[in-house]
Amino acid sequence: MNEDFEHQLRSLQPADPAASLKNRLRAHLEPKARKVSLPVFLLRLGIPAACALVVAGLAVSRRGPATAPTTCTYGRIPAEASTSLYFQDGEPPLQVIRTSSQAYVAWHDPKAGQEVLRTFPCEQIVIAPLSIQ
Amino acid sequence: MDETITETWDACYDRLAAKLMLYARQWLPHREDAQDVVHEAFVRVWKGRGTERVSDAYFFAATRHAAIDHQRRNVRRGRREERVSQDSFFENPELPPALAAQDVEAALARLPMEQREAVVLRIWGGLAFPEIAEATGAPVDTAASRFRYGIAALRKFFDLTPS
Repeated sequence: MNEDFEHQLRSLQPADPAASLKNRLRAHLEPKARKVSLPVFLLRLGIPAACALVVAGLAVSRRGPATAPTTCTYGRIPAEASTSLYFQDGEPPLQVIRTSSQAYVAWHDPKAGQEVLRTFPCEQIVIAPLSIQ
Repeated sequence: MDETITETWDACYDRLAAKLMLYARQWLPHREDAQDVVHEAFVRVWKGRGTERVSDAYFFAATRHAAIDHQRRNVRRGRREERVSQDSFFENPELPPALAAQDVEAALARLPMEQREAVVLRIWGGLAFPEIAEATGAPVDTAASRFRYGIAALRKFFDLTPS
């Protein structure tokens, strides 16, 4: 008997909060990347980090697998470096990480809804003029 | 708890928001006040959760504390409003439920707060008695008996024969 009564109570669904509440939470929990132009951002970062960002721009297209570059134009990424590449379209940043033996470029693929991680041998990481689609 | 975090904040929000709102409105009938409290509690829990998964009961406990604090602040400011909330606690389903939402709200309002929150946490929050105990700070047996007394009072309100 009590189970029937409890079931009847459960059939009432709590009202959803207004959509504005989720937007307020998003503003608190997902701070947006500041929108600065890429050249200004690179200048602020300094030469070593900027080099790493340029590598990310060249080595990875956000829309497909990375090709393996083979040339080195401007220098090397500092070992143990970790930095981010921000896009002006407001999408999540690319993460560029280099350990002593490997390099990683990671980003969030909104279509797949998951983080994508590409791994490169250090020798295949290229520092070259920025080329982002 | 060893379980690491796998749920995103918005998935967690989608799962819990309506339940937390209903719980908060047991102290704060006005929807806007309850939303402020749920916002405050959710941000506090999510930002302070560390690397381990936070139990649902912890979200309810934070909401409870925030709602009580909010209520006290309003009393101190002399801003307590007596008008009845216009928004229902419940969705309007396409098919009418066996119990009308307005009647259930009225019946809940007549319960002592301890029984009311035990009923809300168990029926609509989906918490087990140990979790209700965690959220309210009461012993498990007390949480269970509050729920049973609350259900008995609701049955009486609807003029149903006790089992």
